Parts: sequence; C-alpha cells; structure tokens
Amino acid sequence: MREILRVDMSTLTISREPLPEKWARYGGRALTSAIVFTEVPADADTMGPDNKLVIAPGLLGGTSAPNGGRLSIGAKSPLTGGLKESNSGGTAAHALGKMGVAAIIIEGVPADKTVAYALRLFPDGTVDLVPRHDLKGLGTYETVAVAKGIEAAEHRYSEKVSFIVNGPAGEMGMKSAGIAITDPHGYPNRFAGRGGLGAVMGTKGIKLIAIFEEGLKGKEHADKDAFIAAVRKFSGALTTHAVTSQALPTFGTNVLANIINEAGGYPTRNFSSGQFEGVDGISGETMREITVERGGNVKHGCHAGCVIQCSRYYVDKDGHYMTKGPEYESAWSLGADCGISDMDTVAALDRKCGDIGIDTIEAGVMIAVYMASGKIAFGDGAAAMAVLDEIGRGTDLGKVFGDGAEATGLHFGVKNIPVVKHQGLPAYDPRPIQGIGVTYATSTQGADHTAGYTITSNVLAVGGTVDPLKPEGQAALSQGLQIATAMLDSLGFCIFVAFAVLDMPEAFEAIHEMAAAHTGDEWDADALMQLGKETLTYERLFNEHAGFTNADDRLPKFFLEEPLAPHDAVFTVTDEELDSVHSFVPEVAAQLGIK
Amino acid sequence: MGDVPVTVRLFGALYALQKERGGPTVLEIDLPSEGVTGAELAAMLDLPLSMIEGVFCNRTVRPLGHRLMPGDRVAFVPEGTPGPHRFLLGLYAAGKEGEPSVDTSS
Repeated sequence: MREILRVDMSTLTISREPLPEKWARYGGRALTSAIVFTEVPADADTMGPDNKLVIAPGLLGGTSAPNGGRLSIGAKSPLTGGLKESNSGGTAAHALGKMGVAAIIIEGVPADKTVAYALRLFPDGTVDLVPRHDLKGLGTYETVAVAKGIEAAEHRYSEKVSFIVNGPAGEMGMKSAGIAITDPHGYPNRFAGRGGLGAVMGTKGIKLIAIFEEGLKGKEHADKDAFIAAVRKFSGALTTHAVTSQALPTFGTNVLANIINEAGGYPTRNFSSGQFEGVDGISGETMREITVERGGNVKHGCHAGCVIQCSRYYVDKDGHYMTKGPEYESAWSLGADCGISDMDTVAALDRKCGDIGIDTIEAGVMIAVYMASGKIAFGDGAAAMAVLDEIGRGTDLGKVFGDGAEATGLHFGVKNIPVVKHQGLPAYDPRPIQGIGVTYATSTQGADHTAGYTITSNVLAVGGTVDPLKPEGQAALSQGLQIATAMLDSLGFCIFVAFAVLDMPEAFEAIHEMAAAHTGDEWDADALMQLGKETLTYERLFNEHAGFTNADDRLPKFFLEEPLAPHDAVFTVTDEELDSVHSFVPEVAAQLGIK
Repeated sequence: MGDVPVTVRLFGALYALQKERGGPTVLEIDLPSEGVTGAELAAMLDLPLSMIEGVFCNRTVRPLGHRLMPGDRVAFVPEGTPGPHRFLLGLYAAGKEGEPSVDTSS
C-alpha cells in the first residue's frame, strides 16, 4: 500500500495517511497535479501557508522499469500563477518508491522565517525533521557536501542516499528558482527547474530532503514474471532504437543544436534570428569532443535503471568536474540566445545556475532579454555571469533578475519578451516550427517544450505529415503530444523513452504491460492516454479557477507579426485552433466528477 | 558542373563518421548543373544511406530523392533526432518515404 507523507511546517509535525483509493492509479505528475488541484485553493498566495509543495515518484518508481525513475514536483507556481509540475531525473524517485511513499506533501509555513530544516527519511520507515540553520544561504553543491559530513558524523551517511536541495535563490523567494536532485554520484545536478518551485520550498523552510535507502529492495509486483517480460521487451526496444541507443548516448540532448539551427528555428539573441553563426561552438558534437579530450565522462544514466545513458559530465581544462553536460535547452539559453558561442563559458554559467538554484532556461532567456535592453552586450559572457552573481547575492537588481525574463523585460522596458503565462520560451522558435508554438501557447505549464515532447502511435496519423511552416494539423498534433507526455510523466518514465515507441509498437505495448503487471490493474493503450487526459484536466481546471482564460493561451504578438529569417515565417495557427487543444477537458472532468 | 558548389554539413553520427575518416564536416562539392538527388550526393560522399533519415535543403527537410542543385545549402541528418522534432521538422515523413525516388519539389 502506498502512502502519503504529510509535513506541516506550521506545526513542525509529520503524519502518514494511505493514498486515497481514487488516486490508486496515479503517480508522478498525475498525483502531484491531482493533489494540488484538490488541496490548494486556486487563489492561494503562492508564497503563503495555503500553497503546498508535492513531491511524487511515478507509478513505477521503485521498480526496475527501464528509465522509470523520474520525480515529479508540483505546487501553485510563483512564476506562472497556475498549477506547476516540474519533472526531474536523479535518484530520489526510486528511493521514495522503494519506501512505498506515493507523495510527500509539504504544507504550512514556519513561524520563524530564518530557519532551515532537513527532512530525513530512513530505510526503517522513520522520518524526522531536524534544524539545519547553518545551511541557510549555501549553494546546492556546498549544501550537499556539508549535509553528507553531518550525516557521516552521525554514522547515517552511506552512498545510498538521495538529496533534494534548495539553493539560495529559492530561499530568497525568487520566481525562477528550481529544486536540485542528486544524481547517482551525489552531484546536485538534476533539476526540477521550471516555474519557481524552489521559491515554494523556500517558504516552507526546508533546505533539503535526505532519503536513505540502504538495504531497501525494489517494489513487489502483482505478476513478477509478466513484469520482467515487459521490462525485457521495453529495454530491448530502447537499446536498439537509433535515438535511444545511438544519438542520445553519444551526443546527449544537445545533438539537436545543429539540427534546429539548420531548420532556422534556433532562437538567437532574444529570438531575433533563427540561426546562430556560433552554433558549432556549443553543439552536442563539439561538447562531446571537448569532454572526451579532457577525460570527462560522456555517457551515464541520471538514475538507476536508465538504459539510454544520455547524461555526461562537463569538465574544465584540467579535467575537473564543472557541471553536468549542459542539456540542449541550457546550452541554447545560456549560449545562442545570449549570443555566446564558447562552451566553457556556457558550462560556467550552467554551473552557477545550478549552484544558486535557478532554472537554466529562465536564466538564459532573462539574460538575453536584459541584453536586448542594451544594458549589456550580446555575447558578453562575463556580464552574463555578473547577472547571475547579482541573483546569488540577492541584491535589489538580483531580485529582479531572479524573478525571470518577464520581470526583467518589464523592468528595463524591453519590447519583445518571449514568455507565455509569464514563463520563458525554450529553445525552439515557434515561427518556423509551428507545432511547438501550439504547445508553448496552450500548455497548462506556461511555455514548456517538454509538455509536448513525446511521440506516441496515436499521433502518427497527423504527425508524419505536418508541414513545420504551416498551421494545418498542428493543434491536433500538439494535443496528442501533450496527453502522451502527461501520461509518461505520471508513470515516472523519462520522456525520451517515447522515441522508441514511434517505430516500435512493442515498446508502447510494454509500457501498459509493465503498468498492469506491477499494479495488477487493467492497463491498455486507451487507459494510458486516459491517464494523460485526466492529468491535464486537473491542471487546466486549476488554471481556470486561478483566472486563466483562452486569452492566456497565446504567444507574444511579435511571433505573429515579425517574420523570422531565413524562412521569413510568422506564427499562423489560429486562435480557434489553439482553443481546440483542450477540447477533451469537459468530458474528462465530468468523468472525474470535478469542476 | 555548375558554377556554384553545394555546401554540405554533416550532423550527429555522420559528423562522427566523417571525423573518424579524417575528413571535414562541412564540405563544398561541385554538382552537375542538372543537380543530383540527396541519395546520389550521399553516395558521392560515401555516406551509408542506412544512417541517413533526411536531408536539409536550404533549411527545409526533404526526402533523399529530392534533387539538390548547385548553390544549395545541404545538411544530412542521421537517424536519431530526439524530441518531437522528428515530426515537427518533417524528418519522420522524409525518412518514411522508403527507397529514394526523385522528388521535384522545390
């Protein structure tokens, strides 16, 4: 039986309760979104006691499901004002899953705002909340190092521990603050980055969560043999498909840089061009060459059971660890969008973001907006680092920067601010790639590339034939993508698994076979997609209650009015088509009995 | 031969293959004035078709049967483009056209 762990920071008490039967099929994003929808008033002050930080492993968390160790963190977002789900790798999800924890709900706020606590979960089932006031204000890397030392002194530390860590930006309540999760080597370099969830964690006075899993075994299955068979089928697909067995393990997600640039959709210098002349300097191919030459690790998983192995460590000229190999979106935001073409500079900025605990996408978009104001020049890496330093020191200007691209753009009077629902656009210009524009506009999460990142067989009918420069078919494609992504986020799968599903129907079958064999419930393709629809329905309705309307499902006007070279394209998907993306919500809401 | 060479870029696994061979990853190739198909150009460069899913011609994805002309900007994309972009850019459709045939679309 999975249970909910409830931590009340107003009273500093911890309680347990069984997972309600109505949510028995939920995990990950479905569960965090359902809990936030149910327990957080839509008009709650995001920084107040009524907001709740919800942390959940996927339904298959704690099992050997390949690439099934993603962690979902949800709350009402300080950045968007809507329901936020941010998803991360790292080792914490499997650890929580093995403990039978369906979700941690952190609610209330401590009376004393100067405190910092550590929430600790031990293998024997005990949980405590201990003061760690000395950690307040420390960066994420130093926090983990000190916490390891404290636990070692108490003979509690082992290598089998996961940390969920808040940085100083989150403690200072900045709206671009994310939450770091440690990887298998103990580096806090995985991030639930988007939407300012670090700020929510900061209000709760929780500096870190430590999850000790020494001696814990994987979760039991309703049908062990069937589960193992499905795991083998799924793993076989992932280890033979070109995307998951070759491109991602070799080059990481940044293999996209050259491709998106070639398509003219690589946003450059605050979305003023679709091509970056310096792309070679920050591409996945170049990053691999640099890393190999310096003796860095270029292939590992971010959690146990990952068979794709797209993670890598970027090292300095002396071969010392700097940061994880910047993902495509981070290399773009801190690189091309700022006009920076040097990989070492991008890696240094990435490390700084990770240490102070801010979302690399929002940070890069914010710096590019600031550069567009003329205060600093595009391409000036030192000036970009100075901006991050301001955030880390919490200066008045740093607090503006730390609240993200929109806050910075409004403060400095920038005309083109690339945000939807107050969140910065990621690394794909929606003018030459219209489909991603639909997802940016309509996602419940604000501008979010991962909201429609996956591919499943049900979208092939339209997905294989859409013209990237034309509006036809884009809304239907985005709808399918968003539903499928929500499903994978709920099961706890890395969204990259979906690439194999595209060409290998047996991979999609294996997903519902794993869910059925593990839970003993009936799961099939339709049930998987229903899970995705229910997840989006909670999120959409919460946002409606919070005051969002169809008018919020729009791109900034400059994407509709200012043609982007080389295609000279503008975004042309109509408002009516955008409004059709969530057409399923009323029916699913009725099925769920929610309004 | 045409007066203006075609510029060819190689990405991902094709980039790595060319590096292993000690060759440049951005090439300028002279084409006949009537052009060649993407598959024919791949053969000229000794690039295995099994590694190629699509070809960019002047920033737009085309199938390997598309005719490339002198002066075009070309990039070969291997199988393995992650994300929805295989769909959103048309790589999936290009790669699914089967054996290369001549495509006269401009």
